[in-house]
Amino acid sequence: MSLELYFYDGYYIPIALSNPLSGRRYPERGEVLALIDTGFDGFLVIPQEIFGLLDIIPSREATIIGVCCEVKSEVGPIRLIIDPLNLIVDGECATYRGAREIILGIEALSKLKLMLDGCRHKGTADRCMSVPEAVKVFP
Amino acid sequence: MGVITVKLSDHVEELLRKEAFRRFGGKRGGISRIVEEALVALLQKKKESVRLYRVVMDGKTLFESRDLDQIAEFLRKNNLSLRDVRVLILPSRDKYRLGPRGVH
Repeated sequence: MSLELYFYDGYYIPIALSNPLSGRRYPERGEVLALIDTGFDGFLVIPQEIFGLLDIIPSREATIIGVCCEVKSEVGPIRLIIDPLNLIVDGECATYRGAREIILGIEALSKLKLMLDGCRHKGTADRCMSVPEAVKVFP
Repeated sequence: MGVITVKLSDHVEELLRKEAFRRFGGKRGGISRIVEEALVALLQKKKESVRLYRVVMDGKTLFESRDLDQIAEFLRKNNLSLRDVRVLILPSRDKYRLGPRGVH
């Protein structure tokens, strides 16, 4: 039950997003590619346009500290959907002026097992296996 | 009902038989029930959460859950809109890092 990642200028994973509080989903059908970014220590960054389409009401503001500068962002609840893995994760997303792509950060990656093959520009994602079960089966 | 032949390692087979005996006392179909339960758990949609959501109105906590479906259900049942309440996300972070480290 592995999901193939896409490689372009980085590793991308096909996802969908929803806001159960408004009933909106993005994209309405199919999936969109999100950049896997271990340099982002949050859950998800999305462009302002998608924040608006999902009708997310911000819960608070937060600062995103990058290389050159700090930007103010708005943060709201969001659901990450990875259909081929039968996985949904409730978390939060941040958006700021100038955010251009969907970025999956460390907090979202905590629910995924990723295998990256840099030699072949390939990668796979799986759901996490619970540790106690793994220990029981493979002592 | 289908019949499927699968290969298991000796170790897993032993664990499976012991578990079937422990739960069903050696009755017929015990192994099948355990395998079916395990497959359903593996294949069904897995819902996870990394946050707690708290519905607050006038400074009072009305409801909290880690599941956004439950938050939506609570609002619907109580005829509350997102304009009436605040949905706090916990733990609340006010800073995130994006990009290379060691710059700031």
